[in-house]
Amino acid sequence: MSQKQVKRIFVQKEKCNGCRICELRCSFEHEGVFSPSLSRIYIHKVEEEGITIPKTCVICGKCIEACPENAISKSEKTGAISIDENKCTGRKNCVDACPYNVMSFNPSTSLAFTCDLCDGNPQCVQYCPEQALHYMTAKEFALYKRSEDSKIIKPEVIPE
Amino acid sequence: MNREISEPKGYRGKYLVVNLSDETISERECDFSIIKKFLGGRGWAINYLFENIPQGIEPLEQQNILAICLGPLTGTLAPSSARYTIASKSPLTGGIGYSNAGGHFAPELAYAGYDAIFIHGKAKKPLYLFIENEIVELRSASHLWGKDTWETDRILKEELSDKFQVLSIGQGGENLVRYAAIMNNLSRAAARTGVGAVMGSKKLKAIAVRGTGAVEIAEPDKFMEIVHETLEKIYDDPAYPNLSYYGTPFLVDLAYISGGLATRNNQTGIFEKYEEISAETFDEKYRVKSESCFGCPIHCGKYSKVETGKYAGTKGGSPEFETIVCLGSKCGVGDLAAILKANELANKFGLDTISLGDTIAFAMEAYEKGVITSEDTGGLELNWGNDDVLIQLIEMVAFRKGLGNLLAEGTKRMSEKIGGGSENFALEIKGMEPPAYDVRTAKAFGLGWATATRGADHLAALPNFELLGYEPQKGFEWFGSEKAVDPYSWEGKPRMVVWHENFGAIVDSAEMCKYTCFSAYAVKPEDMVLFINFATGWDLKPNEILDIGERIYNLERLFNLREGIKKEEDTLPKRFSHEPLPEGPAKGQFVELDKMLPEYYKLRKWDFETGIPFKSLLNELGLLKQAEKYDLICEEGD
Repeated sequence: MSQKQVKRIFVQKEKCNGCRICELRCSFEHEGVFSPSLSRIYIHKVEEEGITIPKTCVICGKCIEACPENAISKSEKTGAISIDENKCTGRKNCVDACPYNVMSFNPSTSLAFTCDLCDGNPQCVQYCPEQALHYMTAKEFALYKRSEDSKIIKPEVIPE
Repeated sequence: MNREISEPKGYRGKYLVVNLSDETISERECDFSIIKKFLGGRGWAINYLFENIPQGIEPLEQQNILAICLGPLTGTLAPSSARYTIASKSPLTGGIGYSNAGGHFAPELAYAGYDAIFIHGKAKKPLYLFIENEIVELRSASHLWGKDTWETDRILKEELSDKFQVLSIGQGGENLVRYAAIMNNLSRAAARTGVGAVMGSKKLKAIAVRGTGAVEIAEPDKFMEIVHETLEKIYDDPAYPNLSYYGTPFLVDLAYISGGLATRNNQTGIFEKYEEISAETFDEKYRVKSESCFGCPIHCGKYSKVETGKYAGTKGGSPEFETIVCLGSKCGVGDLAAILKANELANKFGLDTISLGDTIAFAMEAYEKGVITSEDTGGLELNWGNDDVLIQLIEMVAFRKGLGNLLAEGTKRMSEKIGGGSENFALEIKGMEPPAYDVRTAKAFGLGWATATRGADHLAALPNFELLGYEPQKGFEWFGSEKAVDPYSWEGKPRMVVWHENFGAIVDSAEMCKYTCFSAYAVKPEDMVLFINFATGWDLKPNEILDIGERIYNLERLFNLREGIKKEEDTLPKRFSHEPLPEGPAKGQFVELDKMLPEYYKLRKWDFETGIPFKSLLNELGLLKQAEKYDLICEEGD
């Protein structure tokens, strides 16, 4: 699959309100429990400035280069980062190498984990109440950003 | 013990008891035979306080207890379930005090592995409670004492990590302002009933928590099904776009249209500067974006900023509808930037914007009527709409300076002190100041204020049903009267209020947000029971959870009775029950409380003379022992 056709999660940060439903849904999807520490996506927040930015894997591949065990590759089906749990020895080189802090480490399994795009149907995207997350190719996202659909809709203050 | 009771999911199964006097901390296992009767949150807190606070103590002495309780849904995807209850004996009312807040604190405590924290005693020096999973310590807060809640949040995050969630008091709590709030995430407030003053009296500055654990639920597939269904109902609610985009400020417009936009200490419901504080103005000039509590699809919170003018640089979370009215139109202030500034200060100092605004409005009316003069105010001119004075007074309250020392006592105590007939316009019930919406335009809300266990309180009942324009038939089906859908009518309202109070107690104990349950009734008792059952693995029936709600409400009632709050205090200030609205679409309306109260008591099975719940009811609810201990026994027909 060429890089241009790969879909990944794009973020419209102006829409994110920091509710962290994405974190809850992600941990539930992958671990069957609710735990932001086990989520593959997180919201970076600076409350005093009203900053809320979703952070998740952009598939830059730095972790692939950093892994001494060659345990990390890109999924043939989705292009997502894929960690071979049989090869991962928990040395965290990938965690240190990740520029976006989205390669995480589960101390109870001693394994690294990151976004696997839910095998092509990312649940964070499905559950975001504000449509701040988009599973698209770079070109699709660029077009979307220019479209009316991407705007925040302001409702009328209609008295009942 | 039966296994089902001993090991439900949803809960963490552990809680903390902290004694500040001897600086001890103990971790205890939950007794689910008790929790199953009260669910968690508000219910668990009131039960703990009833059992452990000695009768008749002064709320600001060390024997008072601060209870912080989560619910069975905390930290899950159940919509808007990130709330927690903080309860204590109230320094404002002398009765049961509790406050409920959102933000991101409650789930963090859940992920750290605790269902509750009960704080006893009083520290010798300022302390803060540090919790990182199983590590729990009391640490010195000498460097934090005197700092506002934003500075405290910043310093603790710098010292620990920005992953910590911080709950703290500001100078308001430190200086024992009777309506001091406890704050988290800068703008989320457990504001009502003065819980912040209790925390201040204990010299506990903050709680910083970090949790990396998980919350497990009993039936994941079924749980997610009900989550899905509820999300759809929430998104389909006609009020959703407004609540989600504007937040509660859109209620300013609704209140104005109904003629119930409380103005100048509720002298009228029409505010001439309405447009300047409307949702439209908020959006055009100050709203930056939404700012959500954890896991909330509604996200009514907003982040706002003032870019220009006298109040440039003001920023932070919302102001809520309650704040815009109480610090705005009730004080005659029509400059929204000034209200935003007042809100920012109240959040930083940790003050309840409702009681704060109301007490200032009361002082302004006292000034207008000459009960207090510039001699009493230290030269300040307390004229309606004077935003400079409003801003000055807030700081004076937080530090108890000059007139602020009197205002810090709240409306009731201030009125007792200044006299001069001021009791006629001192707006308070059981010692607590009333919320924004003028109840002369919504009679169930009026009854709800009078009967709420924590004083003038719109949230105990929150009977939105009467405001939603439902068909009369629905009023008959739900509450036995077609007129129940008419906000001006008193018919059907006692039943409406009892139902909402009981279910509201459940919502506060499951720790879901009342907006999810009461704005579109997206979660009714039959839905709530599914959330609880699928989370815990229990098999409760809808009527059983309504029984839990009734039990909680009656135990709060017993707490108030044993602390000397009499039936006569189930009342409204004369302004609402005897002074009709003077103008506007609701002109002539007042709350016919006398017509509603007898039916309310009858439905509650409370004695009309004494207000004591009948023995037979308490027996059914399993509260007889508690009543007997304080000699609160009343047989029906006595």
